[in-house]
Amino acid sequence: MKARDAIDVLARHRGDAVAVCALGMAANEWWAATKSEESFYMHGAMGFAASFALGLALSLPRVPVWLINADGSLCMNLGCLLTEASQAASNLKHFVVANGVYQTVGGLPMVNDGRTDYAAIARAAASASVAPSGRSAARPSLPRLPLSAHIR
Amino acid sequence: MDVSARIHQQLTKCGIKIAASLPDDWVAPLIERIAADNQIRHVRVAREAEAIAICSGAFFGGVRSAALMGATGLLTCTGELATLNLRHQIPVFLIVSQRGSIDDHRIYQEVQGRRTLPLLQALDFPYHIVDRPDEVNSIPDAFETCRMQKRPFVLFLTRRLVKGEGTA
Repeated sequence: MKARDAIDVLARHRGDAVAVCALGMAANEWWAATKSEESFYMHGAMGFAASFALGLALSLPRVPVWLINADGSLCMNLGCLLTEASQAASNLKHFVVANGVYQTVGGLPMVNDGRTDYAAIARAAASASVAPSGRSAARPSLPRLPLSAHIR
Repeated sequence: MDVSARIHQQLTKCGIKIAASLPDDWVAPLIERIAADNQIRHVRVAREAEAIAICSGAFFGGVRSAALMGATGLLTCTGELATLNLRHQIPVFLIVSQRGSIDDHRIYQEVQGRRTLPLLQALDFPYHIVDRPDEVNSIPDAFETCRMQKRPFVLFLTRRLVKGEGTA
């Protein structure tokens, strides 16, 4: 599944969730797919969209908050998964689009050449639940996706 | 009432409902007081910039917050403070131990002592130094200044304030 396809699937299932987008590919593709002006697009602080989304989710416990993250941003701050897990905000869903490259800055490959299992990292960080989603699995499972999800 | 209790009392007066922290030993007693307060959601973070971003998200949720850390942690956050908080005009109230002062006597804090204030001045981040217990009452004014200026604001706690007179 291409990154844009994954974003399109998420956009179709968003419902009334408030979206927070990591800078770069996630923000660019979410904007392209949704033209959403009520989403928050990080313009900096790479790696910390997850923390921003957590702060928003804790402040608005009745509002569903979706974090549209990417593997490059996640790897800037893997510790965010521990913080998320510790707070267990049930209204927060963390999506990671793992395209294996730094798409916005030339498409060069990420460290470890795509061998990283982000879902395993999230599980090990004690995230409430984790759902790896591939091309066939993404669409039907999205409405019930838990705290952290991983789309290849 | 000890100084941590007095600071905690002023933060309550400010209406703070979320606090995100990574400890430095000078602010650790304050952090533990806040952690024990069930009226404040305390978030322990793995890196100081997480605290900045959590408070920034809380701002958009309409909830008042504070980030607590040491001066070393503050130095690690300058990129995030510039590209998140300055860019989006998000106020964030930081409570930071002013390490590296002449009474600190820790060689690994020496650079923080010399360069932290010039760095904040270069970024045009306002700050306020609380050095004595009777100055703790200035915290609500500092918090309001942060909200008005919609930018990072650093409240420094000195060694004399948190540890008392005398050297390490």
